[in-house]
Amino acid sequence: MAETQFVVRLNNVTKTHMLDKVEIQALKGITAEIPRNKFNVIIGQSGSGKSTLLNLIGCIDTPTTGSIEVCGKNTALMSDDEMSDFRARHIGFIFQTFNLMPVFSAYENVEYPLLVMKTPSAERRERVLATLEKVGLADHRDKFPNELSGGQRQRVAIARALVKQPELVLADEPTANLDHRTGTEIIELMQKIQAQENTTFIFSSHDRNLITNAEDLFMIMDGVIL
Amino acid sequence: MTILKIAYRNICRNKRRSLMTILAIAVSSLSVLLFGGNISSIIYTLQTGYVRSAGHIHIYRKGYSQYGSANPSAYGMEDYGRVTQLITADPVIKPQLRLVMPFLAFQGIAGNFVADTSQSFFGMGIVPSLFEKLMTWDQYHMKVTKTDVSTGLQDPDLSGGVIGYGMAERMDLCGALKLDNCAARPQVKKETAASAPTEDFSALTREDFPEKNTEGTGDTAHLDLLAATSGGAPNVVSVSLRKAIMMGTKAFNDGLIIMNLDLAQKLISGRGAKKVTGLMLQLNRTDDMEMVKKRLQQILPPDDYEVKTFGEVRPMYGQTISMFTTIFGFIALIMGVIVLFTTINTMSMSVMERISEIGTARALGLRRSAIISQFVGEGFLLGTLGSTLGVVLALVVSFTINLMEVTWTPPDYATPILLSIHMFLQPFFLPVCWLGLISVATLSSVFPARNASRMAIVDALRHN
Ligand SMILES: Nc1ncnc2c1ncn2[C@@H]1O[C@H](COP(=O)(O)OP(=O)(O)O)[C@@H](O)[C@H]1O
Ligand SMILES: [Mg+2]
Repeated sequence: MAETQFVVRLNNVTKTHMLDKVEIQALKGITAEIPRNKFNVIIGQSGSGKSTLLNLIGCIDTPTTGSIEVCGKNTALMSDDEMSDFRARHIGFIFQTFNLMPVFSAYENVEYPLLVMKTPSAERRERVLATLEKVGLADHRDKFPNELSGGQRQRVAIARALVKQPELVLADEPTANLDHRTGTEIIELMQKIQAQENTTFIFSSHDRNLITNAEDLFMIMDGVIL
Repeated sequence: MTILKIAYRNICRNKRRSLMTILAIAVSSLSVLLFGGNISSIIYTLQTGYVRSAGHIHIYRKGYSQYGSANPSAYGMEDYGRVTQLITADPVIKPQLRLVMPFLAFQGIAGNFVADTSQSFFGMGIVPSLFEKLMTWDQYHMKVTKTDVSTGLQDPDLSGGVIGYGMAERMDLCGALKLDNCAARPQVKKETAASAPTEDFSALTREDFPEKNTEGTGDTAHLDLLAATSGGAPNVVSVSLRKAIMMGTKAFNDGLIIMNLDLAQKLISGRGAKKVTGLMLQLNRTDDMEMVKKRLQQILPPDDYEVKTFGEVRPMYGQTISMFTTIFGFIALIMGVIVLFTTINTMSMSVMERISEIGTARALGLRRSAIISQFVGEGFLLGTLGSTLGVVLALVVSFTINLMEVTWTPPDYATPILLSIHMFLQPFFLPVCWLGLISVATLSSVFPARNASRMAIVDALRHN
């Protein structure tokens, strides 16, 4: 398959939030192309529009104007169910607050996206175990989120995002709730896995010192990519 | 992992709230089941009482139900033997038929001249062996009263009869009938000889039936019965009372005399042709009543006979059923609404607490419908646990109450009847109640779940 070089194309995208009848323009006309199979980093201060941008790319929000193409699909034309299925298949999320399901064990949290995709159970098991192994949590697979440390939780979240082998993984400030050392470990883990799996990561942070060896760096400020 | 397994874990997150919800559903289910079970037992007890005392279907001469009570002998049935044969030989009716009995209902005045008492009474002439069988009908295996009654009359005992307990007391027959707990009448001073009638109407008995002369006196309790014959002339017979029994309704207990048909006919028909009021049919199953009624209307000339079911003879049966059914419907509705609001409340709270989880699940690719299914699954599980617990509690409580043999006296009744709870008499009652409350709980979780699924994903995710 002749894949294009870019996994995401943004064409003059704007996003305006409504907050108590006040319009806040979070993105002010962004045009960008994000390369495939890279560890892309978006750096910007708090409030610069990183989350807004990643939400649009992740198809959990829609732009006010402009168009977005993700994995070759124009997201504007999809129904809500198509959008859900698209996310289930192509996009992995890693959140700042981990967002694990508290009633699921580590194993079940990682298994969840495969259940959504109705993966057969034998394959499911194999992939969940392999992915947990990759993030170094094979021994903790039966623990529940409240029995895990922050770093361990984020590893489960990384496994959950990667288990379905998505084209695109979005990590919106995944280290913001971790101490510096753990954060660095998590970034290193993500970079390692990105290289192994040959998938595309988009990682955002407000701390430019966190990333020393980013291949593709986007700077965002006040809703504009610099 | 199935929806239910996930639902179960989510329910366990707030054990106290879930438990309260389950208990509220269980209590609603319990009250609906107990109340419904009690009503259904009252209805079937009433039915059993009617069918045991009067059978399912009555056949009268045409016009009896409208005019007959004022002139029973004119609307009497003379060819009852032939009609009985016709019925018992009919291939459609025969398999359903338990018995056919001729009966003669009339009114008159009864006197106990030993004690100077007299009162009006309802007379019922029956065939003792058939009447005993009539009283043993038990399609629903109902125990109506603590002690089962029997008249103890025998077919050859041509002048035998039994009397209501209350009437025995009034007629001052306690001693003669050797009754326990009998309200002994305070001794009234005898009237003076001058004002006393020189002769009582028992003298007539001696004229008509001289052979009965000695029987009524002495130790045996007896009453002299006065009634009008078919010809309109007064007639008197003496009934030998074998027993006093508790009759169901107060009116019967205080004024009914059940006697051998032969004696009743002697009184009413005199020396004329023997007639009866009608025929009583008792079927094996009440369910076949309408069918048998239709068939009877086919085989009996409609210009000569009328066919009535017990519900038509005693309209109170139908009225009682519709009254109780209305009350039950009302209670069931209230309980349904309670379950509805309880579940909506609980599920709304769960949704509120889990908004960011909902956002996460949607981001992972769950469709709106899957979010709804998840919450509806929880409502279903709460409903099932609550409703099932209610059924179990209702079984335990009803079993205990039935075992305790608590009695109560319905309005206008002379005897207390057993307060029982039967949830299986109507085969669909229990399953419908069980499923009904589960459905209400399930459906009421749809609204909160729908709202949850419609939230914007980014807003849900920001909700921490
Ligand atoms: N849902 C929202 N409603 C209103 N304002 C919002 C909303 N989301 C973001 N904003 C505003 O948009 C701007 C960009 O926010 P965001 O994308 O969260 O930035 P970042 O993730 O870089 O901190 C901020 O001013 C923020 O207050
Ligand atoms: Mg942000």
